[in-house]
Amino acid sequence: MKTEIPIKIVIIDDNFRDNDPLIIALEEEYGEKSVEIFLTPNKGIEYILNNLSSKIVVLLDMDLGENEKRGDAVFKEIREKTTLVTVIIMSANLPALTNDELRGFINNHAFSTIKSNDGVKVNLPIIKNAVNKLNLRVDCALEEWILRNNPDDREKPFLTLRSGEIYSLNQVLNEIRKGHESELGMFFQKSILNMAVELLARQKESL
Amino acid sequence: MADQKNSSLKWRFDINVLRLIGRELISDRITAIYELVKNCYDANAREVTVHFLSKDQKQITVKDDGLGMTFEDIRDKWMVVGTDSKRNEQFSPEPFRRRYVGEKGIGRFATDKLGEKLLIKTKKKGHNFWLLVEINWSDYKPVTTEDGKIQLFTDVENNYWMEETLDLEEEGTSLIINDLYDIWTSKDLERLNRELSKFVSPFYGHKTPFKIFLDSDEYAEFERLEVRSAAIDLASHSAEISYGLDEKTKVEYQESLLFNDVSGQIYTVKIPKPSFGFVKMKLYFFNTEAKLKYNRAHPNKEDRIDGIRVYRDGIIATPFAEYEDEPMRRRDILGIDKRLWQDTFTRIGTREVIGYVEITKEENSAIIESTNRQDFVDTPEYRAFKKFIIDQLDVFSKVKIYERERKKLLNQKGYTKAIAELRGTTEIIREIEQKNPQLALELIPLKEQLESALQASKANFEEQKKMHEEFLRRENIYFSLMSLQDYAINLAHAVRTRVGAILRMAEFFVDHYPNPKYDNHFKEYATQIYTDMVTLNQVTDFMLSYASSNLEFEDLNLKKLMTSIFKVYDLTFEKEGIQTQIEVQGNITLHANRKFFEEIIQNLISNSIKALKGRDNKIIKFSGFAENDQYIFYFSDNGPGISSDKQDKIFDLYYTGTAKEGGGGVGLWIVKTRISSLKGTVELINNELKPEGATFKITLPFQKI
Repeated sequence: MKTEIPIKIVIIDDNFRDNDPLIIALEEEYGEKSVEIFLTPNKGIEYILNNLSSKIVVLLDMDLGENEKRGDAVFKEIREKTTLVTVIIMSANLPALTNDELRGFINNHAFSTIKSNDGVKVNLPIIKNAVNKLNLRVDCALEEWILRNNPDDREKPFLTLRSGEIYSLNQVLNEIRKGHESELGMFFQKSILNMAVELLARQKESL
Repeated sequence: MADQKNSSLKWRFDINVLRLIGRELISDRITAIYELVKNCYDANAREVTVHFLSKDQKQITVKDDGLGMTFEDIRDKWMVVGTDSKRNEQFSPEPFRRRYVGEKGIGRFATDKLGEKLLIKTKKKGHNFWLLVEINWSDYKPVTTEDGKIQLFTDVENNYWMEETLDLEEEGTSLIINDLYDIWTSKDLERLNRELSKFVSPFYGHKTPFKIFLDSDEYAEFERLEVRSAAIDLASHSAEISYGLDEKTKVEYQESLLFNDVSGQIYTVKIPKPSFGFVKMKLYFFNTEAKLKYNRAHPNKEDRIDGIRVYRDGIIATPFAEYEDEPMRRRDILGIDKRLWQDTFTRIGTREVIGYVEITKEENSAIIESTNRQDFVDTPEYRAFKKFIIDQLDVFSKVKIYERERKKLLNQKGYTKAIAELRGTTEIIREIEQKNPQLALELIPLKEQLESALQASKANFEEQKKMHEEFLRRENIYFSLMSLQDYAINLAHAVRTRVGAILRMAEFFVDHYPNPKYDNHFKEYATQIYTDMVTLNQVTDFMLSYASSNLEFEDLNLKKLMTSIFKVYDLTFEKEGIQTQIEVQGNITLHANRKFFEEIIQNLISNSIKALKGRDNKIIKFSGFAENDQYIFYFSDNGPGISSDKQDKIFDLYYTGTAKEGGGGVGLWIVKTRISSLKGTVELINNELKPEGATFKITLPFQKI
């Protein structure tokens, strides 16, 4: 059975070609169909929100063309729904970013900024770094574990809260992926960490 | 009530975290004082005094006669983060029932921005004691105790005590801030005065008395000085809009300003309810003469004429306590001056207008102040609101043009009259000379004087004409340059993205060639690099053509010209999926300035590209034919069209829905101006492409000279 969730690199950029060498490099690294390109922000956002159960790194261009939102607005929109997607800001003119935009990126935990007119050699390591960080997070560890169960089991009732509500594994994962937007997700995450620490501390389990 | 003895109070949170938040939210010391004044307002104060002791004493006191605080207020509200008592309640207690303005509960940390030590002195009506609490911010620096443990911030205790008084009636709060971090100069106080003067709207929603005083021991001009709104009585023009219910139709309406360039009058029209809700507005425009008068009447206060303020429920929302002394560096939240550099001749800038815009929490809930109080949150409603304000301001730029034209006419008339009178006088003298030849000698000096006066008048008149022509020439060049803005943005974006792509493809060759696995990519990239370079070449060539442009007219083959103009946009058309049609009947040769004509078409194209975003089956169509003694062109797209309420304004300069994207909104204005310069007309007619779209009809006269 598959034990690793494939990574998705979502590129939101009105000028990105689907045969760009960066895409080839990314697909060689993370497998075919690991890259999704969206020329308009709304479609990109829609894709991200519909795929919250995937591991996603977003490359978000700042200047998305006339009549479109700027990258910072798109970023905010993504963050309003989920804090767990890793976002890399891309711009051909980084010095032109305003202080307010930069502040927004920092406060909303943008992973990094990259110059869209830089070469693959410069940008690929940053994206790989983002993917590695993503793999080390609680939700991703949980995700890997969940994947070890067969697909039917993932939909079965798995956990009953004291309030009586019942959650399947997939539902638990979804709540966790919503990050700060979901109190329940936060609660799950905290409980899992507490339990892991406790088990290790009691030496019931070893790493 | 706590025991009335000296004791200590602890903060109920991690103070260090809060200080960080406070610092982030209170961007500067003027905002800090502003926050404190807001708190006084919320406490039902009638009067607040901000008192500065001398430089050496480093002390500010903010004293109000508001409701004061109890021990519990301080313990359970003032010193607890996130507990904002105002959040549940919207209004202050009776009798004023003021709508609370300090919503975030962070005003108290403004004192941290100002100085190191704070003494709160507060008293409720009916109490026979003053409560005093001492807070020393420097105690909250991370402290490590001798045994290596980190001392928690909540462990720091703040002293408090009571001071008895016989006056039961007195109430209020004084915040005495000591060990100020900054020196306050008279310039700083003037800045504070200017910002505080905007706190309460002088017109709307201010039903309860609230006076602010500045008091300085050091600067005489600020001795017990009442803060007052900027004077508007010297404005040369003013206008006001409101909203209401149409008695006939029973439909609510918003008023909007328009200018009648025949009568020279500003008038209001009724428009449907805007997306951002109804607003009231008063605008005061100062033309050059009015500004001179203002400066004479209020020396050193010319920067009081500083643009539009937005008031929510009678209290300033923005620009909120601007700290910048240098006008050029001030924030231009509504984007008024951003438009100015593009047209210094007619556009209205913030230095020429004082405006009061009134919004309310209930009516305009989609307009939200940003957390740092220096801007609004960028919502579609806010963008529409901003645009609405700028549309209203544009009426005054029409006033400006109207006045300039009128002045020019009066000047011309004045010169013509003067010259005619001088000629008349010369004639009279000649008659006198004929009748009295003996006076000929005596009249010579007079004749000479008259002749030289006549010559001087003529020369002046010519000079005036030349100056006006020079002005028009400069304006012309200026506007030609302006149209480059759109193109430059396009060009920069095109070049940047293409260069990035070419770089990566070249890098791919360097890293992987030769490798049979990538043969297909090598071929694909080689072709792509070639076509990208050709495009870049075309783009830069076209850009360079502007460098050698002149204002000459020449014969232009319409079909060829149109094809070459459309070709420049091939890339965009391809990317956007736009089909183009060029239909020219017969072999039309235009006698026109190439650049002018190109600008007309380029602007229409770029307009259509914007309009076609997100549409299906995108089409841009150009057709042209000759009829009688004129050329008629139709330029159409099948975008969403232009709604009837906007049709009046589309040719106005900077009337745009895409300012944020840097679109500029000069497009249709340039189209109109350039067509006028070719002595033609442009109008929006029924759309030829169905079901929706926009069609412009351009009519140009034959101009073969």
